[in-house]
Amino acid sequence: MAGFWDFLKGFLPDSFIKVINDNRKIIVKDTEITVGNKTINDPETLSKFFNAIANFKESESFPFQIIHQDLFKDYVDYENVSIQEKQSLSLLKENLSSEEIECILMARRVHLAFNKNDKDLAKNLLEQLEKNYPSKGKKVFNLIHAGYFDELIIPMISICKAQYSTNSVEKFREFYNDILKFFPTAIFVSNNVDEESIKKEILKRLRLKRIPFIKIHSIGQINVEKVEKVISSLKEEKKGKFSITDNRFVTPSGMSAQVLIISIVKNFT
Amino acid sequence: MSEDDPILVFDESSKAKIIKLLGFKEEDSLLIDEEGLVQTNQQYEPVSAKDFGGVLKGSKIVIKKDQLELARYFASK
Repeated sequence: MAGFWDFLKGFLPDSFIKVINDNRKIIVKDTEITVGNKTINDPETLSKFFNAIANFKESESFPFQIIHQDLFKDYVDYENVSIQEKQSLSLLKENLSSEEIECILMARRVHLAFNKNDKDLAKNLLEQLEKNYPSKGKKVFNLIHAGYFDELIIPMISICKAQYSTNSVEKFREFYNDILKFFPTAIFVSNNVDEESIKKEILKRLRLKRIPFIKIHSIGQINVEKVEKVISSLKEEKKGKFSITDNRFVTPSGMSAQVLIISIVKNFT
Repeated sequence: MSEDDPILVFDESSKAKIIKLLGFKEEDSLLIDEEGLVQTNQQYEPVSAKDFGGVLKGSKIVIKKDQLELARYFASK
């Protein structure tokens, strides 16, 4: 911050600097600078301001960010995610590659948009996440959105550290990659998954020795109905092998949602 | 990093001026500095004037106008 004020000192009026304290967005145009409801268009002040920016072209570092208007909201959102998730990101950065962290940050941002009930932005960000990380973006988001990231994945870092003193990073990466490939205790039902696939995924998990439960997460009435049909058919086929806890709720955006828990009574062979 | 840090924001109408102030110019649609070096993002991909999304503080990282660039920036901090 000091660097930025040093940059402004001397040529911007005090009244303008006071406004900057409350408005971090300084809009720079060819013939004016605007902060909040204050605009400077005095040519002499503008010239000093632009010269001050130009002075940094030789230096190795900048005291401020200069970003395109279209990226401003993205910047603020990523900054918020980084601040809110500072502790967990710091742990993850010690254990995962930069590419994984980028994917997690983007997925956290989608989660933030959903929590804020900004449906259009969330949908758009989710599409971008899937485009940038086709094999894992949606999975990472699902794990974050369902709470598994904070409840299971991040605590696993400490467990790996305690268990494997020399290669804990490698072991955690193995665990993380395995989770992204196949998550035994959860299934996420999306719009492009049909009933047959849901059933197949449940049966695959029911065959796992010692698996205590399977949580099926679905959002949207159509997805909830798909799960209902599959469970109804499985109840007939696997009578007495599991019990069901059906938790229904409405998301902040008003959509029907369900977390259906299949508790295993007896393992299948 | 502070959430109070001011941010200079430009739009398409002032992009050319910002590019010039930063000491860049356009050559074969790419951004080059005064030494003639093509500007690259964190992934060492050339950045064109059309895609120019700004310069981030610290080590003066040039970014494309794409939110992934910001995810990369915050991931690397």
